[in-house]
Amino acid sequence: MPYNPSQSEQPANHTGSPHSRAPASEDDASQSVEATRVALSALTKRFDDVVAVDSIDLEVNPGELLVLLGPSGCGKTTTLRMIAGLEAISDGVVEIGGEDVTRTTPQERDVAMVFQSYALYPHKTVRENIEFPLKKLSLTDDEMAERVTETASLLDIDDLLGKQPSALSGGQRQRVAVGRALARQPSVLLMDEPLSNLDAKLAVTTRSELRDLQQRLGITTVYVTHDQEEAMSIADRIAVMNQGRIEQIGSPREVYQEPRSEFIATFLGDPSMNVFDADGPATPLRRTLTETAPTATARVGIRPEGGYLLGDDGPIGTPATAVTEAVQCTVTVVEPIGRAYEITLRAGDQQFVIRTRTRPEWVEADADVQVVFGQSEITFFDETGRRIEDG
Amino acid sequence: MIGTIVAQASASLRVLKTGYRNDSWLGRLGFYAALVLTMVVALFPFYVMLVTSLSPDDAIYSSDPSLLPEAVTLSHYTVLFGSETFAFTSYFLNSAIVASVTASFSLVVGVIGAYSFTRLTFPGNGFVRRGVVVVYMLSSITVIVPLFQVIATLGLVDTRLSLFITYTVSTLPLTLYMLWNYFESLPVEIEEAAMLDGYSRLETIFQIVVPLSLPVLVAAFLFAFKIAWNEYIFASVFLKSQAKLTLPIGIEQMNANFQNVWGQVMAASFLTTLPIIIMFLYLEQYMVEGLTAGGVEG
Amino acid sequence: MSVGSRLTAATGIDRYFESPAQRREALLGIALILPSVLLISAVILYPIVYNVYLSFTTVPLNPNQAPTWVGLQNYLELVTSQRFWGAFRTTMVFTVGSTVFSTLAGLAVALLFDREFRGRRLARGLVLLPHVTPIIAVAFVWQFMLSPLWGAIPNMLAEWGLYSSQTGLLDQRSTALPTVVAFGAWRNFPFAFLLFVARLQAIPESMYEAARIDGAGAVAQFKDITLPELKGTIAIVVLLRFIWEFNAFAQVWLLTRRVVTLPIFAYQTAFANFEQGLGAAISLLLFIIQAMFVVGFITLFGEDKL
Repeated sequence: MPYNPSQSEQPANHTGSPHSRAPASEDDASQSVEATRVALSALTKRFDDVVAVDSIDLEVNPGELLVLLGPSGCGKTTTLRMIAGLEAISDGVVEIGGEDVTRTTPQERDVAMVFQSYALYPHKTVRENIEFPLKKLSLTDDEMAERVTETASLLDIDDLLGKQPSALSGGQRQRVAVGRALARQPSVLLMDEPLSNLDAKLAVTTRSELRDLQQRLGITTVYVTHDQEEAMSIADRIAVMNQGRIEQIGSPREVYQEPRSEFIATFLGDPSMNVFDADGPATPLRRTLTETAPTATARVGIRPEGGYLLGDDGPIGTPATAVTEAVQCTVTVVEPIGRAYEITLRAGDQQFVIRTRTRPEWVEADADVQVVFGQSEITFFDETGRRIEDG
Repeated sequence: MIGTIVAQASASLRVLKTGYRNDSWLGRLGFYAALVLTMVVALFPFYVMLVTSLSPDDAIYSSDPSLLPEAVTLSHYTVLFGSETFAFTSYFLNSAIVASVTASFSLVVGVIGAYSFTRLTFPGNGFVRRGVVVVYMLSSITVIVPLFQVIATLGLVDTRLSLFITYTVSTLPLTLYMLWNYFESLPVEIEEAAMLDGYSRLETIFQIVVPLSLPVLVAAFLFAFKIAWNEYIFASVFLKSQAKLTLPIGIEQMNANFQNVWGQVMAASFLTTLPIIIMFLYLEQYMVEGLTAGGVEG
Repeated sequence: MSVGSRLTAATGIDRYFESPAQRREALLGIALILPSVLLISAVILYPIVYNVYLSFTTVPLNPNQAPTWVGLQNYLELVTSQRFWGAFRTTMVFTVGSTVFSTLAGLAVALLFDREFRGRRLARGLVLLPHVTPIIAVAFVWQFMLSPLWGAIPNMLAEWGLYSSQTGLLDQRSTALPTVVAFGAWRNFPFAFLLFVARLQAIPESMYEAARIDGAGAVAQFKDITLPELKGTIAIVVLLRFIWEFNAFAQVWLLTRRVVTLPIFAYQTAFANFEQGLGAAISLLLFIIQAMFVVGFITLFGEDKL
């Protein structure tokens, strides 16, 4: 049995492998426990000649919810599966709770996973689904029943225990899948796009519930999604992946406001950042945006909310910083989005989008308007796509 | 011949069908006529089998055979079960034992083998898999001569064991093929979930994969059972003593050793066919899947 | 050191895998497939190899005596024997006839079933019966139906003035072969039927609708949609049936002794005349022909079909 000093104070829960754990006594699922650290170093996955995950380093702090975010094919799910032990590791190391688990099987890692498809056992009832992982824990019948009850009430699925998965709605299945993963009180929870099979509205409410639950249990969680909005709302930290590498790790605010690269800047945010080449004919728009550009600038970006329509009394909305000179534009499309508007503008042959809370009546298609940009909201990228830091 | 007539009839019907959404009454009539003709051609021999087995001898051997039974008697059946002459009960039991044991062996070996093919990576996996399909296309006749030598050398002539082994192998390619096709359709995440829940591969096979595959396992079992139940050539070469004969060999001997026992032969044939008919009608849809899988579906 | 680890060390297999977990999986995979491989090797592969040896020998009746090496004598005997070439011709006629008719009939019935009607599932199950029921039972009932004295068929044929002879259809060579072909077609058309039905169901109805909108007539639809979509299945059915009919034994042997195909010739030689060396030589030739078809199958359809 591997000895794990970082967790030895609390042997009753969340230590080592499921088989080595002492029977849970007073502890219950909602009691916070010492959480586990996950560390990946130089983790690499090659499929034949294709490098799917390219030597990534990542630390997931105990109790943290870390989101692996990226477009499809960026290697985020492969990374998650390597942490789970479902995918063989070509190179590098996975540590869970300070213990090198690179060469161990999924059974030995004490991690639980919520699959995109939920992967409930179709031939078992909800109760049996939740009991299945518990059977490996040497609990007494009473303890097992208690765990099931606790888990069920935690996820509000008490009424479903006797049902077959096929009789459940998508949202209910999702809850059962989370319940099955948590019942065992694993040291790490892995979630692979757990909300992508729910309709948009349900996904939004479920993600805040998931966030709530995760914080209450304090369980270290790695969460994979391609949905940047979901990532922003649920994560403690986000690791943005692209082409098998982690481009940036940081809090949602950090990665949004201080993106390290053009890829991140354009991947996060909806609608995404407007980006223009810095070099080219000196149109008014280009001149305005590149006025303060450092010399290495190859591309210049501005988020939709960094552009402001100019009204009679100055900029509409409240720019946090000084603004640029006005640029003459023509409105092509006005699109109401909930409480805001997305306005597509044309300046010369360049198009871009701004977002505004209030729209004066005269702003409509084909109208000529003046637009200013928040000085500090202009972002500069060098030739390699890296953002050029201020100063 | 019959085939071409039916072929032409129904090809023209297909033409009618695709040509018009709503068939004319003429088209419908043609369709049902073709359907009835098909069913008659397919089933007439079974009808003759049943009617003959129920007819008294004088009706069977009349100079003017009639298609409709004039009198019904169970005497052929009582002879089969009651008389010393025919060891029908023993044949029937032998066949049932051989087919059940074979199908069980084939299923157990097939489940683990097919799982290995579909979910486990090892060098040679693809090669062995292709080998199985090639073996499926071979016929018994190719190996019967050397196999008899092997069986004789091992002293297995006239033993049930010789049939258990050879039948298990002849049913194995189909069992493997049916099962691996099915296992491939199972979502792999369910097995991964079980492994993350702490279950080993073997536990996952028997606690997750097997319960999820029950319908196909039943179909595979019945297919293997059917092949073993119907098999003729191995049994005819390997078995010698009356007490061990299976139905096909037993009925053949009945027919060869006695003159004009058509009533009894038809009764025995009918009883041999009945379990298969019941199986197929009851489990028609699994069977269809099984047969199509067996045919290397294109 | 366990056998497993020695084996992996010897083959260098451990370099092939990225982790011990993966190696364990591979070893488990091999362990699980091993029973199948051993059984198939013992009952099929070894006999095929042994058959090669036997075909160059004369096998004594006593199983404890070793076969005597006679070189090519068995093969020389075969190629100079009238019976062998006769059997070869019979086999070809039987195989081609049975394959063609069972495929055509199967295709026709599949087209017939390619629509909704009440009782379709039951009818489909019933159509399968000729193929799945014990060969012994259906062979004997055909024998009985065709028997010149008591059978229903000669009676009917005589009434319609098609055939009237005191000799049964199965009892003289000229009629026995066509009858065996008819039996083969009847026995095996459900196999073709099933494959075709499955394929037809996979043709999207929208293709026909599109064709109808384009004004394609019924014949054009059959020719331009159904037939091309079925081409692959037709080829598979023909090839598989050809391979199997070529080696068919019980389905001919139990119906009549008048039609001697190669498998029957091999069986009689080995187990009636007890010339097992000669029987082995015939089996080997059959195997080579089969192997050629299998190779043809693979080259035609690609390895992914396997």
